[in-house]
Amino acid sequence: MTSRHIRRALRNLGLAALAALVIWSMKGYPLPMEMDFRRYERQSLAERSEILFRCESQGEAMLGDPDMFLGVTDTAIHTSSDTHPLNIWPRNADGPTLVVLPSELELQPVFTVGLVAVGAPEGTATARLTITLSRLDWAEDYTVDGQRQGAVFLFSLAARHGEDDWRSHEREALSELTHQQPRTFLYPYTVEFFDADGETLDVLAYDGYGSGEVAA
Amino acid sequence: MFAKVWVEEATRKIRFKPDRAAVGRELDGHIRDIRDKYEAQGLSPYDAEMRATADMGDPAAIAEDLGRIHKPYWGWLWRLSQWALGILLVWAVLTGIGYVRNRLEYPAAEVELPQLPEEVETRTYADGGVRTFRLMDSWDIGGSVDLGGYRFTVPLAYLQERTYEGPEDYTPLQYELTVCLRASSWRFWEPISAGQYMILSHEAVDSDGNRYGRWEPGLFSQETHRHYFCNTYGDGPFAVWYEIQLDLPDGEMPDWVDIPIGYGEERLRVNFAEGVVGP
Amino acid sequence: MPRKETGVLPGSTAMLVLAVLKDQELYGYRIIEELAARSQNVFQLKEGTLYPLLHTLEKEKLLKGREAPAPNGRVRRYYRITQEGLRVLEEKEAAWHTYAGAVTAVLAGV
Repeated sequence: MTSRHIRRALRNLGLAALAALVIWSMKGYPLPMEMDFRRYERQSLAERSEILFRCESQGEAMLGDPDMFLGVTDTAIHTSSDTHPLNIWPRNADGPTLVVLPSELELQPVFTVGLVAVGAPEGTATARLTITLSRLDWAEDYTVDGQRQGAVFLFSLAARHGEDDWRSHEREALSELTHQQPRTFLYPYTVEFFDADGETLDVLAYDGYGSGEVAA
Repeated sequence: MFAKVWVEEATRKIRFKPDRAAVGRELDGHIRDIRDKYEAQGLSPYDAEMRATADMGDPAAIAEDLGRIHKPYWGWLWRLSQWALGILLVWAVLTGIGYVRNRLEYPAAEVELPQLPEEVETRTYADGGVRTFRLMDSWDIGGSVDLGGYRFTVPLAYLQERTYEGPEDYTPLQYELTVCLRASSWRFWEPISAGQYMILSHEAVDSDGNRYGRWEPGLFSQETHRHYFCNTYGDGPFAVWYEIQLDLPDGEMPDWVDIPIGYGEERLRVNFAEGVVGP
Repeated sequence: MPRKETGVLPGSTAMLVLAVLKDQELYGYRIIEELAARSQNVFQLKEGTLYPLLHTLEKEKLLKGREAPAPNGRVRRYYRITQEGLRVLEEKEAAWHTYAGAVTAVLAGV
């Protein structure tokens, strides 16, 4: 009697597992974020990157998984968020590269976008980003100090306009920043790398789209 | 004691209900057999039952023993499995309804896979322009290449002469080389990406040194590269076609073309002279 | 393979029950009758001892029980010995004979 129940229990669990598989397939085979990222890499025949940096996105937290990460290969930088699972940026062969994280770091209280510099020169202690955001008739320079996060530097670019006329321009430009593609990167920037004594080790400069350069 | 009461007492410590019922039936059967024996000896049904339960012994004592033996663990597993199955079945049905409704609302378009075109095909445009495609040559390209777990073959390759007559300022005579790549894998849950940029994000080169690239800001320019384009087609859950078009302004066929695929450094060489595709 | 042998000792009630079921399939009431009959009423097993024993032996896979309807419409649980049960019975029987023989020999030598 008990063994009949055991058999039925195992059969039930088997059917339950089958039902779970069917549900999983109907929903398009979703996977947890990092596995999904690796799957996108495989489907794009991209090289498997080494994940160097992780953080959370407040915007993604509302939509789904808040994790964002950044991985590197010899020739490319891959960024990932829940809604943009694979973004490929070409990497500078000789020198540092700057990329934008695909989703904003914070929405409240201050709208903040993250940029990451990969490949800082040896001995870099601090880094500084200066970027010019613009939209229509508005343009402003922003300077942000970088925080070392393992092998990369993170720049948290925060909105500075409160309830004033330039707020919407700034918000739009910051949003646009997260959607930038490496080949058509709009905003000019300079990233300076300093050693412990404050001496400049390297400067990464980009003159903006249309200048003939590519943001890499 | 009445039989029913005795049995209830004796099975009280068996926590899993179906087990309790089964043991209860067994003990009740035994009590009845004893009762039958006494009734055959002449006792009244009532007395027989009383004697029978007395003969069975102390129900509390047997309850302890039976409780220890019939542990409910398997029973809880069974209950758990029933719940799991129930919940998942309901979830599956609800998801299924959504899935079916979605498919009916947005039915997958019936797309035909690329085929070898007719000898001559004409396309007329609204402004009176006419394009004529003349099939010049076609190749059977054999072999296959395995990249990233996907198997690539070239099911179709042909050259057409393309002429234009009409008001627009298009080149009147062009040659268009079409090469179809088919990428297949048994891993239907991770099919190869069916985006055009799987092909177009890098340039293609041929054996004569010509370069082909998509004319797009940030990609390649008209000055340095020949026109290059790609359409994609789904071929069931296991395969994707990339229909690649290269412009040959003078119709000179190269011996081979190197086609980049994906965002790694992978490429395929389609060799027309030898009729094979290789890494 | 080590098994937790609860109570199938040489000469134990468990051994006797297994012996009764060696060649036939019986239900509880008849097991008690059979045991009493073969031992000329020396062994009069109580129900309170029998059922826990039967259920334990079934759990240890030495017996296999099944519910079957009796001719008079009742449902009874019949027990029969398993291969493993036979093996254990033979083992304990042999051990018992050794033991009994030794005791007899010692008493005889007094």
